[in-house]
Amino acid sequence: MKTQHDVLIIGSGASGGMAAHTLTRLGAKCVMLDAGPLIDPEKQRVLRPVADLPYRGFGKPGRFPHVTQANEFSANMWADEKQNPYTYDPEDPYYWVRIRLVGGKTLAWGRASWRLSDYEFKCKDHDGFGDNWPISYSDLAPFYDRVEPLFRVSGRVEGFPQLPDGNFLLDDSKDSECVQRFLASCRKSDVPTTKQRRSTGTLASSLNLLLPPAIETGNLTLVPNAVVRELSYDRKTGKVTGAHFVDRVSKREYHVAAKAVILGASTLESTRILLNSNLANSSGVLGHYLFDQFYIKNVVQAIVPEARGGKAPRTLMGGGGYIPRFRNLKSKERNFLRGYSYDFGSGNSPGPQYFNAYGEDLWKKLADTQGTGFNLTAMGEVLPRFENFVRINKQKLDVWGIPSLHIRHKYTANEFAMAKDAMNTAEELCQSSGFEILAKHWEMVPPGESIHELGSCRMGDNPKTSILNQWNQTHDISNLLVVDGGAFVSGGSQNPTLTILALTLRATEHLASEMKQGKI
Amino acid sequence: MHRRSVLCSMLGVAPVLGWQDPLAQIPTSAAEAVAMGLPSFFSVADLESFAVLGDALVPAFDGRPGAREAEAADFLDFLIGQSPADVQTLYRRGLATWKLRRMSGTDAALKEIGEPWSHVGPSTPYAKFLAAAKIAFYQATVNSRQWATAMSGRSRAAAGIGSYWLPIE
Repeated sequence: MKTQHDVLIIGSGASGGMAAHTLTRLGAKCVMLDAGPLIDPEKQRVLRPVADLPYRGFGKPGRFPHVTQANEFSANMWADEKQNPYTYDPEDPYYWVRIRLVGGKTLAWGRASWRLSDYEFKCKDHDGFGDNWPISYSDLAPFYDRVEPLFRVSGRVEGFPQLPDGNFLLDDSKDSECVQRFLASCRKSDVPTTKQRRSTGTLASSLNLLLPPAIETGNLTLVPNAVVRELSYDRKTGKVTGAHFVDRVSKREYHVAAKAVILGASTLESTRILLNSNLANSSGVLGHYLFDQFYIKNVVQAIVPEARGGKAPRTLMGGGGYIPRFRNLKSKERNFLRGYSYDFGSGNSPGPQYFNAYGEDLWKKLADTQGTGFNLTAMGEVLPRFENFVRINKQKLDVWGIPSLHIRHKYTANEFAMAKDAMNTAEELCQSSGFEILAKHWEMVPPGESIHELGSCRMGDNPKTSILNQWNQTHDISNLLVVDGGAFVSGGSQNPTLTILALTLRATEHLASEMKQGKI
Repeated sequence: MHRRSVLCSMLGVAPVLGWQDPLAQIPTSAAEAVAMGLPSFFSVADLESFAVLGDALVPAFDGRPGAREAEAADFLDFLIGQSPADVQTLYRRGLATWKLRRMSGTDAALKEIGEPWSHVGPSTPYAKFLAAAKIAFYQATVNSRQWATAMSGRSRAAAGIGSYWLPIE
């Protein structure tokens, strides 16, 4: 009989890592399973010229049909789609982007670190749609305050109610002249702007910021290459007792026992484990209310005319910023609910696809516009709907024989209306800044591609319409928690990782307190 | 007698087992740098038509190698040969149309490249083919070793050096 651990943590990314970081320091004996191997990112990567790659940077055709982020340099980092299949209806493609390595997606995240506000936590109170979270911003604010220094988040204090300030490393960097022109146009249009808020450092991952301190306590046992098949459950006690898993390489089957189980395997993987375990679904809503944030990449690609022909003074180009949500804050002012935000940047070189030219003419246009670009990417809130869901597809197994997910996620008229507004507004702002518009569009990337999949295991006060309570415990089983993006009730347009970290810190401190009191 | 030899004799092992011989750096070459790739998708005649298209879309200019210098058509023939069926169909049919239209002149055959940019892409299959071929020839050219060699004097970024993830077991 092997040791029964206090807590089994499944997943080692933002949520799993934060759970281990918190619980081990509070004295809990934890075991962590991750489906992927432990790698050293520095030793795993080597510098290579693109011409030395077998496919000249194009990558092996067809290897990653749903991972547009994968290029030939990074291809080996992403989860293999053949080993880890999933299905969708052909007319509604879903792009599920995964990394199966210890550290998870924090090995490659964009590091954008925004807080949610009560425009999200109390969204139903604000516009009547959907459901409120069972917590408010004031419940989570003290935990945001603690995870921001841990992830060395830099930013600028602004006082926006829709984008609460945080515990930042102050970013007082100057803006280039083209950015200053753009900011002035935004001010004229009552559009708020700020600097990016990002986690800093050469590596800002669970792998270097969360797991090493947890290991140092002596309370964490990390098991890589452990693919969880399902959770084990004792009907007499009504508690989960651990997990069955299979070794990724040898395919040997195992069981690990624990007093409590925390799922932090990523939004869809955690829900998949619960569905495959037939647990925590007395409400029937497990898998439902899946949503993400839609992206319109390069919604406007413009150029700064004064920079043409390599004539830009050194102070003209470079840098960027962020526009937080500004629509529908005070009243319903557009033909859609909620809102969107933008990332903007300057100094890029528009690619050949933007010029309807070829031959020498194309070369001249590329040379003329080198380094002149100003572009925006729009990120919009997707409304959580019961109709968007995942279910188990028993006909499609992964290479370890575990049933896969069938994913159904469609954008609706609200997202399409928002996308058009995002394009038109970006165009107006660029034009009033004196930029030339090269291209504009409002086509969103397919659902999932933003890698901000959320919901499907949502929190709520009502056990009949939600899976988790306000402490991320399942309503049905008190020693089972889900702490990743699956818990979200709504998501705004802010990148979700910082909120996942804060929620996990809050939930795991509460779990440790309950365990000390003997309640679990 | 050296200390290592004494130890080896005590342990009963040959001294050579105790040595760590440093391995000299042995230079290697990518196959593409010394050999021609063999056609795998287009026929020899079609591959030459494809190379002519590449030359028109991405010619050598102002010291920059073009698609022909970068052997981009040969590389893309290999890439298309491994691509999904819809991509292969796009190129096979598109090239057939290009060969026909080119009889009226290169500019006439490339007229549809002049369509305004659209995120959803060009309106006809042939225009889609031209747009795809333009980007593919451009990328295959600027990512070639010929480009890196020719442009190394102009730009440190010419070699396109990136951080490559080694395969994971």
